[in-house]
Amino acid sequence: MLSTARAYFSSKKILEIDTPALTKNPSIDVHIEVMKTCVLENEVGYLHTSPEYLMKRLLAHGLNDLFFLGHVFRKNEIGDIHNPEFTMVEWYRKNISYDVFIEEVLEFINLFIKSQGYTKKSYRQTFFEHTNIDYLEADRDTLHKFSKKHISLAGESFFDKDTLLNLIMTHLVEPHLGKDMPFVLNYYPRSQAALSKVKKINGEEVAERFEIYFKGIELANGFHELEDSEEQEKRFIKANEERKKLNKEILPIDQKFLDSLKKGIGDCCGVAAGFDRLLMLKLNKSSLKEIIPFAWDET
Amino acid sequence: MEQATTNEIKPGMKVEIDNEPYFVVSNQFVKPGKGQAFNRIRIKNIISGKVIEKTFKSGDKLDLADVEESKMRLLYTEQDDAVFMNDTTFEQFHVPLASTGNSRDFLKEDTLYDVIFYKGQVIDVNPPTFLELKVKESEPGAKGDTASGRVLKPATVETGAKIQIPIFVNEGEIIKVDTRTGEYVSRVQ
Repeated sequence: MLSTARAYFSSKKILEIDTPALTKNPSIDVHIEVMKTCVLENEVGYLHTSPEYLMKRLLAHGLNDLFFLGHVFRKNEIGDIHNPEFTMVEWYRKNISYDVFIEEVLEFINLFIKSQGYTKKSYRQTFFEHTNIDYLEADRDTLHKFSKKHISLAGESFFDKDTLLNLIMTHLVEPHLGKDMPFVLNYYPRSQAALSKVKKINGEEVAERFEIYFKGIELANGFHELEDSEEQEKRFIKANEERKKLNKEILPIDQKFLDSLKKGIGDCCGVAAGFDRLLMLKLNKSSLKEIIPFAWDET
Repeated sequence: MEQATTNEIKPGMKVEIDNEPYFVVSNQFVKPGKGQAFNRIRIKNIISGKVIEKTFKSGDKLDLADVEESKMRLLYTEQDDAVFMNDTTFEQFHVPLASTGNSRDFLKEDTLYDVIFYKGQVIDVNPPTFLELKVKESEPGAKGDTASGRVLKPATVETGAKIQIPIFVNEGEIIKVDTRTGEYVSRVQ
């Protein structure tokens, strides 16, 4: 399976880059926890949750098309389709349009799951079709009421609008996506743009971000990559602020990465996909434990 | 009250939600690409047996149920109660027969049981896995009419449980019973 993936990238002349798992500057995300470790006597480092920042630094240095196929680490993520250490396939392409890139990701996925055709729909429309709610117009209370009606929520902790959107998506929408063929969930809410560019479509501000689902399982997360270093720095600061509010550790901001953005990574698209999940779906299994040689509890 | 985070919750653990005790049946970790993770936890009410599902924010804490198991000896049964004794403290407990749950038909004097307490009240009593019980009532074995090797007939044992036993076993004999399934295991010499 690994060789099939490598052969694909080789045929497209996409260079493999073996970025290190250990880094001084981890990815900053409100909801992804990073494993910290002692690297030198008085120096701590982090296990990467994604090879993104290092790959983008290479893009700034002039490399055009790169891929990574290796292990990433995420703390506290364990379940049937989660393992704290998992295999990620992540690649970046310059001078490719967002829509053509989506086709390429589907092409890669189909090397393994071999399906015919695909569905592509916007987040807004998909959300509406499953809930009868326009996420853009709806306020937090409407979403909260809807959630309480359809999902058995424990406790009374506060859920903000994005958390409610995620709650509804994971419980009521995602399980239905991609039943027969891959489903491309396109143009995410602006508030969930992460590292992607933002665009205006029919008056709606959306993130140029897509995800691909198959049989209700999230396989890939792709972006038209943000190039603006100032905007990126703003997002990092905001993410750290939200982490602080949630009593989470504030993470160091990767200045070298921001410098690369300033230097210019070029107009590019990127995607990260769960390779173990791809194999799990190919082999019709329901747990990563049946795919990964030694899942965490078996080591 | 002892607590555990959602990621520590495993099937078989006992939790307390809205003042009721539950067994954890399953714990599903759910996480959107770049968003708050949740745990969808299926739980079974220890008292009513009803199974429900609750969604928690991943990392939230759950109260562990104040459920205690204590080994106690059944002294005797009265009209409405079973009287148990703790061998170490000599403390005696009157448990309504209605609360003896899994042991209702397997109460045998001078036997040790697992008495389950929730907040100081007995909510269930678990018998030993195997019990040796006397057959109190059964028809004598019928000859003939055997299509395959083993043929069973209904019987009632000394504790009131109704067990299917082989036709060659008679009233007054002692048999070994699996209390989990209510099945005959063997005769006891």
